[in-house]
Amino acid sequence: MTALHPGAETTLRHQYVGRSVKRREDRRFLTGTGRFTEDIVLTGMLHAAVVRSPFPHATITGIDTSHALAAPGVVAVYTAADFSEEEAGPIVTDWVLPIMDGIPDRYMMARDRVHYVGEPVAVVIAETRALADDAALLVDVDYEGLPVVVDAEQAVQDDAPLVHDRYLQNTSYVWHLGTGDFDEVAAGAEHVFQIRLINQRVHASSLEARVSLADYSPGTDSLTFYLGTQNVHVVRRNLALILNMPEHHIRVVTPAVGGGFGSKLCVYPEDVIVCAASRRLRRPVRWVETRSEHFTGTSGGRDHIEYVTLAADATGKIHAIRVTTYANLGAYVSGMGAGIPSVSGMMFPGCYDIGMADVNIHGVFTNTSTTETYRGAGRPEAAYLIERAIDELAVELGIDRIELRRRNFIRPDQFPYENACGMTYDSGDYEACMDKALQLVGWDERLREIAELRTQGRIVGIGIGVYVEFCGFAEGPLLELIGFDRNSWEQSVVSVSRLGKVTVQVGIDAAGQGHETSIAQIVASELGLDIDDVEVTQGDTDTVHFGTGTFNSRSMSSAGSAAKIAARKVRCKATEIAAHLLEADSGDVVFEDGIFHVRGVPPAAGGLTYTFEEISRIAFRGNDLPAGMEPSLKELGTFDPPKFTAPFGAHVALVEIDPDTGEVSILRYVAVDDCGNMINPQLVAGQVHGGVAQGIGQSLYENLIWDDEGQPATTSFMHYAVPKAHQMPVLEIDHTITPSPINELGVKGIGESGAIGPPPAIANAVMDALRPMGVRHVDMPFTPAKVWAALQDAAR
Amino acid sequence: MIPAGFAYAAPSTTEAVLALLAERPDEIKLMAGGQSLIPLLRLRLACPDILVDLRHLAELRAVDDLGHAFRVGAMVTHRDVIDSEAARAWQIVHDGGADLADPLVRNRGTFGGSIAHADPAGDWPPIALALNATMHVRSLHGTRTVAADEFFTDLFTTAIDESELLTHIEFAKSAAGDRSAYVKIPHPASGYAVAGAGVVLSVVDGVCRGARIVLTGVASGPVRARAVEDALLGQEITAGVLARAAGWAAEGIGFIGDSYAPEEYRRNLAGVAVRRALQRAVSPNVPDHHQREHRG
Repeated sequence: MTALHPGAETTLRHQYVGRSVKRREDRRFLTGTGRFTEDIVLTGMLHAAVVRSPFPHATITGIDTSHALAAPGVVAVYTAADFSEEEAGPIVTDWVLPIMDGIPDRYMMARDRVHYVGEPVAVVIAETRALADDAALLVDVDYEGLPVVVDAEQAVQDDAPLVHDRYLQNTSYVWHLGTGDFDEVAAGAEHVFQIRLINQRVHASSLEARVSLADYSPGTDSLTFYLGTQNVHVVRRNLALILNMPEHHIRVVTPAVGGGFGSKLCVYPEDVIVCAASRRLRRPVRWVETRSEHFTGTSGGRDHIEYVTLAADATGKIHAIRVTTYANLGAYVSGMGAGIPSVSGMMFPGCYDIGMADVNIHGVFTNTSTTETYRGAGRPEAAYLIERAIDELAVELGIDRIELRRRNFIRPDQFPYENACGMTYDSGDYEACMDKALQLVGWDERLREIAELRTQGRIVGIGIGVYVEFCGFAEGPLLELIGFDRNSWEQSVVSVSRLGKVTVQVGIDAAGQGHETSIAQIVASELGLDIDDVEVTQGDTDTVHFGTGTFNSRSMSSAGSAAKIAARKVRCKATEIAAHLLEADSGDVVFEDGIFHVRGVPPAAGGLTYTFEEISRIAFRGNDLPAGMEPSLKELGTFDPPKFTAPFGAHVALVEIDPDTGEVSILRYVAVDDCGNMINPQLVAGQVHGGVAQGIGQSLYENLIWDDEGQPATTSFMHYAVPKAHQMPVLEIDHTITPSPINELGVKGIGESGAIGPPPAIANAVMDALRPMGVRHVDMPFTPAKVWAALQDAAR
Repeated sequence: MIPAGFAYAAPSTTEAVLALLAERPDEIKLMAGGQSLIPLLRLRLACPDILVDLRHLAELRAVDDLGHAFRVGAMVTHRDVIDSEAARAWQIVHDGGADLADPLVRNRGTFGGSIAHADPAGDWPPIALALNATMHVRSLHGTRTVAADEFFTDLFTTAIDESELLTHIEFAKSAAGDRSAYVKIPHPASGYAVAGAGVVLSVVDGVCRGARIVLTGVASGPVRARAVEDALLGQEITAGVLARAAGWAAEGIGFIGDSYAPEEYRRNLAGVAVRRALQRAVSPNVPDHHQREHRG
């Protein structure tokens, strides 16, 4: 941390951190005056329509673009053959594990073979979007079908069709974690318990689908690229590599983004298509994704098949965990897609002090669209796995599930704690958090009620999920070791205008999180200024010099800390100027209510004062500064998190199942999350609400499906169910606060937690309800038909 | 996607619409609110040469009380159906409208549009069939009526000829002893019926003298569960009789299935929907703790 004299304490009036300041973004978003990528209209703009493969796996034997080219308004029709390797090379990803034999080349359009339904094959560029759509139907592509595999576990069988001929198998990598001999520990254990779990494919389904607008300027050989993304600088770097353009000739801008959830972190084929087309045609080119394209082309999340084995002694103490995961990567490696399953493995021991782990993660290619980061990215899979397994182990051992957790929790005095898979947790108190959730829901009373209702034939159950996750991507050297090609650090520039107004540049890019409010709270508090005097700038590579973006719930811990450091530096410099003018030692200068004065001589006592605005003017005029001081007030703050943070929580669900239809209703939902300190409790609540909605979605409704022939079955909101308002229970949320010791703010991160708790809590509740009916196992999502069928099978 | 190009007409009289239909019947698609048609146009599953918008046909926007019957204009919105006397008289009409889509769709979509579209999981088609409604269709050659039993012929297919326009739907006013209800088990994504049942009973002195039981969402169109009707006719209405009758719901019906709801599950839901609708019809005020709350 920066060892600078911070000046006096901020007065209470300007202490915004910890207060539920209303989101400054809301007025424009709620009144329709937000500016999204599709709102940008450039002179001479052309429109792209992408021709996609209807086959999940096929050789392209011919493409006839002549009819499309002759259609009204068409300016160009391109296929992969129209661009050289130099103009549009393979799409760059951010995460190739060192054990992988590279990644399959993925170009903006398929070259001679398609690998999933929806893969781009050609593009029509026309004067209007409607004309482009018309002409796209006239592109004639001949295919020769190839054998198909869609399931990761089937794809690793010896006789499975090969997704990529370049490799001799569909397994891209097997990533091993843990040390020691599991079999030896298991041989000495009283109980060895195994379960197979499916963590199904789900889809971010953001309200705003993807939109890309490229504007190449031949005069300066520069490209301005507008798109909805969570990380403009990563996109710029990757585009520079793909397009073979100098990075500083590319500007990437992201205006308002209508939801990202991890699906807007990578460079997609359509991004390259519009850039390459704009460069060729020397006109702006825009592509707007349709919802159907979103379901087939934009990356989804999860899709793991997992075998979990726990070895425990007679007291229920778990001594070892073994997991084999088959993770579906899809047809290519997208963005961070390869890394998610492997970091998921680092969290398999969960909140429990398990001495040894033996984890093998198989990353597998299939003829489906790619998987990627999706809210939680690896941690929901891990929490689901360990929390489902421990509940079943409790049943097997005849030990109460709450008691079994108590016996295995990592104790508060063990932090920082390194688990058996090599992940270090910064701080925590899992038992206290669980107890708060149990108390909030009235666990014991609920158990009595449930017993009573069951005697009446009602199918009811209660379940808990206690999770720990990791946030704030950290440990640069470790990241490099695992092939993660992004930075962990963030920088922020706080600059003050001549009239004392403050602009904060941050390298994170909000997709609805409320950074404009929370970052301003941090800086206004640090500077002791009114929050309205602080403006936050993000999402433009020309105005923000660098950043790694918004993901892994890192925005507050990394960028928030950097902004706080930069603001502190500004405050120190302003204090030094004031001290110079007041002819006092800077240690004797007080800054309160926006006014500098000498300690013990407040304005009321007739002491000499300077306002922040006056100091700003003097700093800019530069004529009366301490010797050697540079004019103006502008400081860079850097924060590199030494370790990950480890937020945790306990979620409880009370459910009832309709015996006639199999429908699961959530009667109560309690979430107690610990994200460390809270910058803005209302924004935290919003993150929990949204995350829980997505977690409930995965638990009860959402499942991105391909049939055995590789055809997607869920390509619209008519088929893919995200929970709507009337499908949400009332959420009862609370917190414990265990500050993180590793950053400036003591924050841990809350963006993803909400999506992590519900699947284990709801699954454990559903299984608690179904177990007395004789049902042994059901996988998510707990759709009525599936639950009903399980009840029928059990009754036979 | 953007719809394929089409010519657009929005005549202000029924006669003008009929003249267009007579002239170029196979090139025209009629739009009566567009809440189903516009998505089909955007997906290019429908590509008409001419879109004839019926929005200005004010004469088709009234619910008339004919004394013995209600006559609902084809262009009456779902919202206005719910607010009409017909919905106060018939529980089934109220139920169908209240649980149909969302407020935005209810304010734009129309009763006639839904019936002419004949979605096999739609809400109004089974209700029209259960009410034994009479469909009034017009062409330049005149007006004819089609009984609901002959109207819904297949998936998205009706007895309306391509030169004809559905103008009104007529059904009897409820008499003393008439009981009705509609219960839908909706798909969590679309809100359409995975299975739904519309029931209309005539109960005289506690005995069932008439029964029309219709299922939606389970087959290629709205379909009468005749075995249930037979099991009810002449029987004293008791909880046991209703439950036993509902047990016949799947009899004689060709069920559809998909990845969300396999055939066997829909077969089960048909019985559940019929049983709940019968219970609701005879005791509408008894809350069913599984009955989902109406949206909007």
